[in-house]
Amino acid sequence: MIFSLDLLTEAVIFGVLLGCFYAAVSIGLSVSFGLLDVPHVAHPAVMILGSYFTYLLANQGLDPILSGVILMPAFFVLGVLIYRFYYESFEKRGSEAGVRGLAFFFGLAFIIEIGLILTFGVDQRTVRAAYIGSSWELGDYRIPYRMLVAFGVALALTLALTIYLSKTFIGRAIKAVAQDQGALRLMGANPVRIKQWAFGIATAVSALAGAMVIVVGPVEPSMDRLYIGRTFCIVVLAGLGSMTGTLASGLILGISESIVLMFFGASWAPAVAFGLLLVVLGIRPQGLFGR
Amino acid sequence: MPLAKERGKLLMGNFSFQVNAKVQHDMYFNNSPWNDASSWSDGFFAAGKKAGAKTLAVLAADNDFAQNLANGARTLAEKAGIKSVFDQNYPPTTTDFSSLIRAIRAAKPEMVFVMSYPNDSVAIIRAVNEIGVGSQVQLFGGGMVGLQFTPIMSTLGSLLNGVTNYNSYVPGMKYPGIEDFLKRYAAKAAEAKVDPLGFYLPPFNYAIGQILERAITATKSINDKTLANWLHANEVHTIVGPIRWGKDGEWANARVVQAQFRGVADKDVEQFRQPGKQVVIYPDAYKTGDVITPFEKARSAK
Repeated sequence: MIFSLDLLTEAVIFGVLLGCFYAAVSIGLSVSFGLLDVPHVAHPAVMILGSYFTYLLANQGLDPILSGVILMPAFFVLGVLIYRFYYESFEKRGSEAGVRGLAFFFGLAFIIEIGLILTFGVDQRTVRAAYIGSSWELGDYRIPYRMLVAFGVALALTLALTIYLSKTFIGRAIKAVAQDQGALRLMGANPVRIKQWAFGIATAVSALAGAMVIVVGPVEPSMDRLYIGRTFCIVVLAGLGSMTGTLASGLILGISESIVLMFFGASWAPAVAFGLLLVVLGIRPQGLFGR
Repeated sequence: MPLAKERGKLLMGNFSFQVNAKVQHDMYFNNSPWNDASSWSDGFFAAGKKAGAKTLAVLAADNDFAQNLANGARTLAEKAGIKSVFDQNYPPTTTDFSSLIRAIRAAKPEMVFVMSYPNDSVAIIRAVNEIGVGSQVQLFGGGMVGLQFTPIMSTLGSLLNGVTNYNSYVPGMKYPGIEDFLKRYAAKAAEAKVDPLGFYLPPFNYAIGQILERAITATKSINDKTLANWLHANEVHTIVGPIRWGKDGEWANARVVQAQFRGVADKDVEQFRQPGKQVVIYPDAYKTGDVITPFEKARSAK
């Protein structure tokens, strides 16, 4: 093992960038699972679907991140439809049916994966942009631009969602629906509509996260499986439904993973992520930022 | 394999790796340019040694296949007296390789042998271009799966320059009949919307048909045992060169190509049809040029 302060600094810088990326791919799940209690295991698959649509738009000459933004309204509608189906078929029928909803989301993930294989094949897809494959040289440090872009987008996304959830009427209603649906109904609001709207937002955010995934690296149809454990780990570590908590736990995971990768061996990295989760849940079962 | 052995059937392998090592079915014939684990990296180490490299970094995916090949590389390094200064396996869940590439740079190796899968290969090549591996590195690459596939080659484009990696065939190699085959393939590939270049696997698939055709014509039989006996006793000439098999059904003489990417431009699939974009540095009989070292110099070479 080679250790130096320079290497440690670089590991932390890479970790911060990686952590923000992790937070960005988890933030949609933080809304759907953390706030709405929907067992949305298809979240990474929807995100990879976003990556493939980004690939299509980027091939027409659009910037990948801009493509992700353009896709957001369509994914919002997709999210509304998915939630409506889930609500009518499972959630409305009580908690047992809700558990069966888990099977629905697994099914949805498989359908998306198979659909992508049939449409695009199993080959890896990548995009090109000026900020992919080059880096910002800062003295002896070299920081990949693609990770800086992911970092910026993740910060913007977290900030936007935090402001939206705390400062707008619908945002507060989404938080309220997570706390007490009955009380919300007494206030004259329809919890199902609020949840539908929130699920739409979560899915729209997945489109942009998908764009970031294909900016950071190549994608293939089954790639959602790589993200399923990590995204749930971040959301649970944060404390369900906390946006700033999602960013913070993404950072914790990213920095610890980067340090382990650089100094102790890559094989230990996944164990560190889940080890951290176990330790935190042992001490604070509600997560780092949960109430 | 056990089922084929039990039923006494002739079985052709297609780019398999050591699948007959345990069962030892005497009617199995693999059609791939490698045989044992070391055969993948022979050429890479020969070139590295020639360039005077004395230290090595190994980065390999954490699974059986990659580990087998990485072990082959480690054995070759030990035999050649090349000292290992970095040796890590990465899990398949690795998202970003920046930290690993930075750690390799800190170890200051003179050769970097990478055994990776397609997604990882793309991410590693990008990270190498972003972070750099150090000016002392003579050779980079070796066993990166994916850099033979057209979509990946065209996407990475100029980022590939300087990388020396394994392959099965690249333009410029003088295999009788392969150019005619590739011409016919290209016309059909365009209609079928499949890999437009088809250098990596299609010639070997076609060669399997040639192998069976030669055996059946020579023996005038379709009996499995008769065909297997003939294949064990004879060398077969195909569009991927002459092939003779060992007892275990692998090629008796491995012919894994090590080629160096040079002068590759961005967004141009057709460029890969020209000889010279991947210069064959090994095996000697099929060489189309000499390896350029160090890696940094090779990246800007035409």
